[in-house]
Amino acid sequence: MVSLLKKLLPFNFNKGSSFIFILIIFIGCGSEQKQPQENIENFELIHLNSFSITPPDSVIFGRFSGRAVVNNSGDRIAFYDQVKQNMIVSDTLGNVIYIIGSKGRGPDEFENIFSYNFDEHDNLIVYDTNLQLFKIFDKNGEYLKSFSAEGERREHYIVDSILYPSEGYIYMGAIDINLVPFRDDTKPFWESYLLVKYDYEGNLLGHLAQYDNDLSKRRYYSYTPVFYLDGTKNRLFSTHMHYYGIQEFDLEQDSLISKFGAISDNYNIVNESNVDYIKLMNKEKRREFSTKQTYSMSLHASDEYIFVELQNLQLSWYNAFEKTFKDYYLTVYDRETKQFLSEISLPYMLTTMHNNTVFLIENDNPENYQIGIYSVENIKS
Amino acid sequence: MITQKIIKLAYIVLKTLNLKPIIVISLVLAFSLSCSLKNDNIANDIKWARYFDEIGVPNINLKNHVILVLNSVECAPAIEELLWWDKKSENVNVKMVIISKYQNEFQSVLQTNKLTIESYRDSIGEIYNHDLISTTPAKVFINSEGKIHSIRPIGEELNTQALKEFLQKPD
Repeated sequence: MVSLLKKLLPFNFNKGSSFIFILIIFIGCGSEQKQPQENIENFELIHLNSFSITPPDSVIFGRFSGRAVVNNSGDRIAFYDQVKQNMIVSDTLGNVIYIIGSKGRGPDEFENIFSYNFDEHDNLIVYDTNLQLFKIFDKNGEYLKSFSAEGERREHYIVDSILYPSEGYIYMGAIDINLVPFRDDTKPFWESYLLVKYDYEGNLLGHLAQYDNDLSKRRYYSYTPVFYLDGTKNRLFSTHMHYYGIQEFDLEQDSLISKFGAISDNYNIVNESNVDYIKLMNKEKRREFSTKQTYSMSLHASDEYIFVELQNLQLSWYNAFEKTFKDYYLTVYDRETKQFLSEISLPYMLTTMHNNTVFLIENDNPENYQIGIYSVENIKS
Repeated sequence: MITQKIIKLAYIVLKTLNLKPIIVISLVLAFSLSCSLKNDNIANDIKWARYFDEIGVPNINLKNHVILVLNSVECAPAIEELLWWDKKSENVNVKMVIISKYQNEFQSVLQTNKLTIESYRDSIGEIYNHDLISTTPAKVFINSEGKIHSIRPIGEELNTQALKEFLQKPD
């Protein structure tokens, strides 16, 4: 190679200059694609328990959404049945505490459930995107009230499936309606606020945080934000479906505190300079392309760690939307230092987390819907 | 008649030019070409019948049918259209395929939406292996000759219009 360069280059080529030249080539290649971060610490999943949700007599479950939520004390879980448009709340042994909702427009009925979560009093708050209504149910499943979401589809669109109630307010992921890049990808969506804040009457109290402006450098992305809100510490952690970067906001000050994130071993990031966007109009090409990038699906935090759930698709997933045709990972960061610690492979799809406990869908058959509870533990070597 | 005359004329020309080998080759070519066209043009209802056979429904006749294909979870407009087809199924031949891994899930879709259309379950998305549709929810109109009249999305257009077109111009 050196002799070839000697012939091609119009200057005297010695050992020193060849070293610098080769170094430049390597730096050039390296800047295109960040190197994956190696695990710094060893984490393992320790299986604690598994339970099946047993439907009460004469009830058949339809199809559970992959997203469940756990209450603050970690002793009840809410599942969403997408076929029947109802919510099933069970304890962590699988005993059904109550089932609310059915298809319709009545007080305790739903047309299209979009977001849900427990508040500090174990009330279940459900947002119906077709009706544009919040509906609140007490800890026994009794209907309390419903109210509309001010500004929805006039000022903003609600974009994330998890809502976060905290101290009398409801926080939801949103995007400014004027910045939605739908049919116009020149719109700078990253300048949009990330959250909308409601009270329990549906009054819009404000907009908070911001999309990650690192996304302005990327052509292909999903602007879907993924976030976790820690109401007790007034902290918001956010990432985006096609990005590994994480932002931390102080909600009280509405300010960005830190930005961090790492490309872990199994994180696939698209090298945008090699993408032929015209070809992506073809469905097969688009599907193939989607298998080459990682999806950040959810974000969680405990007092010690921040977790990001990642999913990699296999092409066969598109045939039957079968969960086994995806690979699941959980990345772990130190909450204080923000340092990347580890990537853990998950044996099943993650449905929710509570502190350092992971809830995995071990069997998605509605007849015997089984959840495994695992603890994420740091194995000191 | 015209085709026969053309063939006759071509034969006479070739004979006078003493091109027997070419005649033989032409005939072989024409025969093989017609076979391959026949394969490509295999009646669409037969392709669909093969698919139905694979999902456990043998010997089905799909001529003059509307087939609705969906996943167990579809958007509200699609479900609304299914209810429309449910009413129509008394007078029109309608069959429905739900891509659903579990029997309970399948039953739940029918029960929750009070659907009475003749329905079948595709538990592994076999329909994609047969390359019959590209995405769901879709409705497929098969005419009286067993050919596909059209494939349209469910929940995105006026059904009455689509059905009228199908019934008026079954070819």
